[in-house]
Amino acid sequence: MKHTLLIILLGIAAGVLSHVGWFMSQRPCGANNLDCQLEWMKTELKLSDEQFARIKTIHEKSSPRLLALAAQVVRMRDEYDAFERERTTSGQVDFLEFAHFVEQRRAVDRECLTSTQQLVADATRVMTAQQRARYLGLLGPVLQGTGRSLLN
Amino acid sequence: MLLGLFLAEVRLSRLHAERGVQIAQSYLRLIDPLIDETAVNVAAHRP
Repeated sequence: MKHTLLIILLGIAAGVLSHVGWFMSQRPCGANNLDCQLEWMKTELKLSDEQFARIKTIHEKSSPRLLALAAQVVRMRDEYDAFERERTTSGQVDFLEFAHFVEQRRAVDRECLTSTQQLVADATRVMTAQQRARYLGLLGPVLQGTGRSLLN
Repeated sequence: MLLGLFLAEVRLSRLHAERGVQIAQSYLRLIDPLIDETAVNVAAHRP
């Protein structure tokens, strides 16, 4: 009886150990950083090691600029909110200042679009036709949602 | 032991699907600073 119980317990322990071991070794990347995003792309698009290395280089080169632009976009949205608050509270807006803001905003928007187009174009150049279709399919609803084209 | 591996695979499959959506969202936000949240969610949930 004791022998049977021991075998059952050993079986359960082996099952639990294999479960935990396999789960820990295969679990996906837990962060939202560039490395995880690139690993995700590698899996989703079935990139070869060479393609992955080139796409990684392209993204590492572009990402500091894109992050800086994202920070600028956030800052400009805050500035716009401040203009709007001033308009609703005091009923007045400094039109010269606002015109300057609009001009800056347009320049940032243009730069964002150019940087994104460049990244997408460089990345798709490394991919096969099938990978490209899958990649653009992932971006497709974004293009439709914004009414913009990320392709040159 | 086989049951343990099978259950681990089931958990991993679910986890990969969830993480895929989150990473897709963060990737889209990275490559397009002008993107709005609605478009990100639509894109990331696309199969």
